[in-house]
Amino acid sequence: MASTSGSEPATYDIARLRLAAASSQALDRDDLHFYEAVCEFMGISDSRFVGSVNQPFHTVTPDQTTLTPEAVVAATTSALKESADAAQFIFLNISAAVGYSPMAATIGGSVENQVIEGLHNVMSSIGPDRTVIVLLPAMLPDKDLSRVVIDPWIHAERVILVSDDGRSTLPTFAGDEYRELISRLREAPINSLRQKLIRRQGWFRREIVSGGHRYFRTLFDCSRSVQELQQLLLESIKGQHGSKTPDVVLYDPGPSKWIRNPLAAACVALGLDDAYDVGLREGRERLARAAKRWRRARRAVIVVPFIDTGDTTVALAEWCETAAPIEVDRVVAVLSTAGGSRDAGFRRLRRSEPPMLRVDYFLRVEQDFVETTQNDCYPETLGVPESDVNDDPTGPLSVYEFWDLAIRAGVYEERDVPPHRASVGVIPNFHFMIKEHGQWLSHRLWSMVSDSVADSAQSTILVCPQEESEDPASSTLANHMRNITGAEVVKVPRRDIERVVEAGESATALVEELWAATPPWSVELMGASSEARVCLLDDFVSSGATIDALREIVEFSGRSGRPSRLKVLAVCCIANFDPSARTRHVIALYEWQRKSSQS
Amino acid sequence: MAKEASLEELRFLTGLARAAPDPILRRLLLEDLVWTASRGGAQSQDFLLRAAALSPPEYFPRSDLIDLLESRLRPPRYDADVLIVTVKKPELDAVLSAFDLPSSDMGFPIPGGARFWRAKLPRARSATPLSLLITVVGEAQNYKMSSFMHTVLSHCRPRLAVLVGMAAGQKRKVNLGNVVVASEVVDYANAVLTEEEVIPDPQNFLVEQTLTRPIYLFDRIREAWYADLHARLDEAVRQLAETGITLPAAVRNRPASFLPRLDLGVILAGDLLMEDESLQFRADQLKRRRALAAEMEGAGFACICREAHLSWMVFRGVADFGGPNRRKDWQFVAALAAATALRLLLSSLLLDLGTIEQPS
Repeated sequence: MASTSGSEPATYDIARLRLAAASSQALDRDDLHFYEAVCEFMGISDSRFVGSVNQPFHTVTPDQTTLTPEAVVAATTSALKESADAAQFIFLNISAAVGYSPMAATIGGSVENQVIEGLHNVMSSIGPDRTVIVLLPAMLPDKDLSRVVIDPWIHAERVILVSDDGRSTLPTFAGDEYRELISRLREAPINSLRQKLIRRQGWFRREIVSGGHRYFRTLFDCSRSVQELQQLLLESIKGQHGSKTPDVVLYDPGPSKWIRNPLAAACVALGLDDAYDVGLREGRERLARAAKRWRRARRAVIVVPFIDTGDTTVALAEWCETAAPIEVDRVVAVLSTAGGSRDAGFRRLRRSEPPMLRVDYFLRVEQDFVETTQNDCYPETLGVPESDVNDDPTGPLSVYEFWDLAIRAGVYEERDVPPHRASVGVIPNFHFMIKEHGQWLSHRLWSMVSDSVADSAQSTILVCPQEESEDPASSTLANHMRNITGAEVVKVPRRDIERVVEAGESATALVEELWAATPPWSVELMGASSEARVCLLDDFVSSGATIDALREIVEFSGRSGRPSRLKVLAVCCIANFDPSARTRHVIALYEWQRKSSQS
Repeated sequence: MAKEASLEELRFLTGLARAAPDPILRRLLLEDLVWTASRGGAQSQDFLLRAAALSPPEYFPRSDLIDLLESRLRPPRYDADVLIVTVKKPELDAVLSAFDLPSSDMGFPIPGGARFWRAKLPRARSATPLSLLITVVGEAQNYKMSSFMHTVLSHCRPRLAVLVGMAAGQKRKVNLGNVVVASEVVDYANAVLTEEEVIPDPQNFLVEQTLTRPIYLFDRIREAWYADLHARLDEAVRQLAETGITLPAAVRNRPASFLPRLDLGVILAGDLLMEDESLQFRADQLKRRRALAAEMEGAGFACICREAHLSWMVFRGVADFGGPNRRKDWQFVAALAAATALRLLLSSLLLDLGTIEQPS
């Protein structure tokens, strides 16, 4: 290991490598706290960062990461070579939990070998007194060829491997503390589940037992949260606080087909037979056949995607207990409309005979109903077609969908009008629409973007204005797009955009000046992969001046020291108020020509 | 581009505007109603009148109302010498490329939900360029083509209509990328069903000989065709990342190696997607030895042009052989070959529109 003197702090830098990502990113103070903690786990109590926070990353897109191994090797070599000469320790971080590679959990496999190859290429030339600490998703097995190649460096403590589970090649490494730190930093899956929960709006008919019908307004969709659901289901089915793992898992997906795959994966991880879909006749028959083979009573857990009054779930539990010699002691629901806790709560449902049925749920959600007698029951009053629970519409919003959202959000005179243009007048409250339904809008918008210009979210960079107002609609939309799709987001402060708009003829000189000041957005764009596909994002498009200025900023990248220019492929937004202007490729969820945009 | 609103959606917007208690919201709804209805067909325009009735004069001026009523009496007309009709996106991309329009050009909408792109084509020894209108149907099949052309021809009256795109070719007679210009279009799928058998009852549409005759001279301008085609392919290769166009590897790596042929022949056009390599069998059954290609729109196109006394032609590039596991990487290239051949025939005056009677 690099030698450290007692009085001087040890110096370190971070190799700027991002795999399976489109853009670079800026380091912040939290990053440095993390590395200083890792230094402590190695027994170095005082350490100091000697790199530059604005140094761009070497990025390799998901496609390149998978298809072009040499790109990973080359990026690793370059990232290590460019680390600060004064650094005694260099961190090379490809951890799945805290690394800079958004897809690290899924890319896996040989990519680690390519990173090690890149490391091996550079070890003999980076100086004998320097140590590289490689933070890995999983420890390389002792006999792994890559491990064998760098074994001499490991024995000399010039290379230290550390994996997410706390294992390390440095015998004195405080692995338990590292594992605990990682688990604290890793985003809680329940938060992520909420962030990715798509609440599709529509008019979903439900028959009433006493006769007639009414409409529920939201269909919940967790299809973007497969990893989170798998983890939550696994932990929940396994049970806590002394409860035992069930012998069999039963489930009824209803229209929510998204429960199937994460549940099957959780069952496999628990060593259980596949879950029985008791919502289907075949599933019930299969369960009955399996029950004949069981010699003693079995414990079952029922999993449901959604629970409202609980009547259907209780009936299902009682049917299962009648059909097979099993005891349903628990129900796990992904979503519940009732319960004392917002997240990770439980309910107790009354059965025909005690004991009560316990329901553990992950998220509490709101479900609105509209009675057919209400004036705003549009299927009854205005002939709006009923929505199909088995359909997942993609593409632009229909007239019904857009105006339903707009009326519920309200309309007002445009606030925070950019100085470069007149107000477009009255607009729907986009900030409210995005705050309430951002996941669904992002899901729909991405379906259009991916159809048109970008087939992989991980290769896409969304560039948007960063507002300083109280209603930051664009930034909020960008955050939702990132959560839902995994695309990178780069935010450019509104004041920089306004300066470019106002500069008119001298915009290019001003953009050059902005890039030269290396604000965070320039670092992110500078390190973006040459394969990255850039889309501009805003809540609505009117005169187009904001978009044109953003385009000017992004496309200057070719003259800013980047080897290639980033090209803007499209502009995406909730509403386009100037569809008659055909100079831009605008992908909008809804559009109509505003009179104010024509003037 | 937003989807065209249905009449039910317009009815909803009108109802919502009528019921909206807030005048600001009502104004916004009416603004959308006016714009959305104005992009639809004749029935949609009824909603414009309703919007006018619901709107205070300050945001639906009387002059706009009068214009609206007049436009209902005289729908807008767009002048053009040649109307070029495509069906699918690769065909539209190819035609836009062949006539120097950027792929990002969104064209302009016309009532009825169709969209036009405008282009000018300089001609040899002529100071006046040809004016072109390009359009895209979006869906295959003859009856959809007929209904689409009905809408389009109510807004323009060209001297010549040309269907340009891709087709399945007969494997023994043409290669991928070759261009077939129709001497005749045959709706081969028309048949009589009896208890014993299915008796083919093909419908034939002959192209005017004044239009097909110059095709025999095409060899004289073949080198110019290749030069133009290769330049446009080079450009397509340069812009691959931006346009997302698919090209076969051989053409992508060496555009200049692509040397297609242009033939005059019979094109079969039926509402059957051929994936069973039956083109040869069907040609034999119909006794059409010169059947070189098969597609799904030519008969509908020819039928309505004949009905409207409009001169017409069909140019098809061979994108596959109508067999199982059809690949799609030749679609753009084949359509581009067809479109550039048409461009050259028009610009070189080999295809002289002077021989075509001015339609009434």
